[in-house]
Amino acid sequence: MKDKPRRRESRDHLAKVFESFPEALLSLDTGLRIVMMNAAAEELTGFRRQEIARRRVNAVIGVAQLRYMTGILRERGSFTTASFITKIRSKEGGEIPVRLVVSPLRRGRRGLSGILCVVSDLRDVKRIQGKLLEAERLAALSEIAAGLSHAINNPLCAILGNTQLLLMESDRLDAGAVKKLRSIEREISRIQRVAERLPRITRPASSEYVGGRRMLDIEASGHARRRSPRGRPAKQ
Amino acid sequence: MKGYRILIVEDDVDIVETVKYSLEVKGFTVDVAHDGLHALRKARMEPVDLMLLDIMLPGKNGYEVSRILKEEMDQGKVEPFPILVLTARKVASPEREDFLKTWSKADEFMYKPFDMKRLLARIAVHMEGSGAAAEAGR
Repeated sequence: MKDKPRRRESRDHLAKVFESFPEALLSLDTGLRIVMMNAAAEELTGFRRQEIARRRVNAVIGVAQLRYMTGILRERGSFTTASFITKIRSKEGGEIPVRLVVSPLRRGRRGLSGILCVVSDLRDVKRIQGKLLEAERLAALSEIAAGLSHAINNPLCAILGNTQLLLMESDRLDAGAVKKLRSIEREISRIQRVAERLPRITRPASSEYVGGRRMLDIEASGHARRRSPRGRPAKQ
Repeated sequence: MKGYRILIVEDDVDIVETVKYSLEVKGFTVDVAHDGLHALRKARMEPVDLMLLDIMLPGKNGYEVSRILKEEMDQGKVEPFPILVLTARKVASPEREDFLKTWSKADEFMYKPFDMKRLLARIAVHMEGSGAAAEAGR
């Protein structure tokens, strides 16, 4: 007779654990219909539990990889747990990247009463991953740009030096040759500006190039401020 | 300009030829070293009035060459002379570049490609008071 209150107490305790669990929990029946969900699941999906109770899980939150769940149903008795990265649909229709752990809910030794889903929100992880990838991309770009700038500036130095040496003797050259040398000098300055800007790119921007390919748009990209030889930012 | 010796430390032959010619036209005596160790040997053996120093050099890089020579100047082992670094800006991080500039103890940094007139003007500034300044900057 003392068993009944104890059992109720255990059930209440389990219900509290389920409800208070920090990750979103969904329990499904063998028809993949939602039986229970906790507060974290409501918060994650935006659905209230009465809105989606007894509805099939994929019809409601659109779990993209149902094969793991149907696999558990097929392999009754083997009780395998699966974990995978997928996306679920929120009430507002937005996609949420999640890690989904699906585990069979046992009934007796070989029976199956449903599936328990633990849904972990991966939006923060994805955001951090995105930022890390962007930082790595930028570091690689910066390294290539610095090498390229160095490789361009050395030959440019010899070209500019020789052009200016010829211009120093412009009184011995005809007007057409001087004009061409001035043009070379101007274009070298243009290349020099590009080479100088390349390693300072902090927010790369791209534009469309011939044949639909994308190319780095040096003018549109964000740049770190140029530093003067003493390390102070100089006027642009 | 006779008597004023400039040591060009640069491994790019075309740059050496261009700068050497510009300086010789102005009357400087020009000597050349193509790597860091060679530069150290030359600077220790014969008096130098100014050094034009590249950074990316075989053997010892320009930062090291500058620091070693400036320390030897402080210790009285080498006659003091200004070091003007000519670099194609290889360092991606501005903070690291600033650190290396201070660490190297070089007198000035100029970035390639540089304006030849400006280079001559800066050489003149560093030689100010020596009598070579006015003529070099012209």
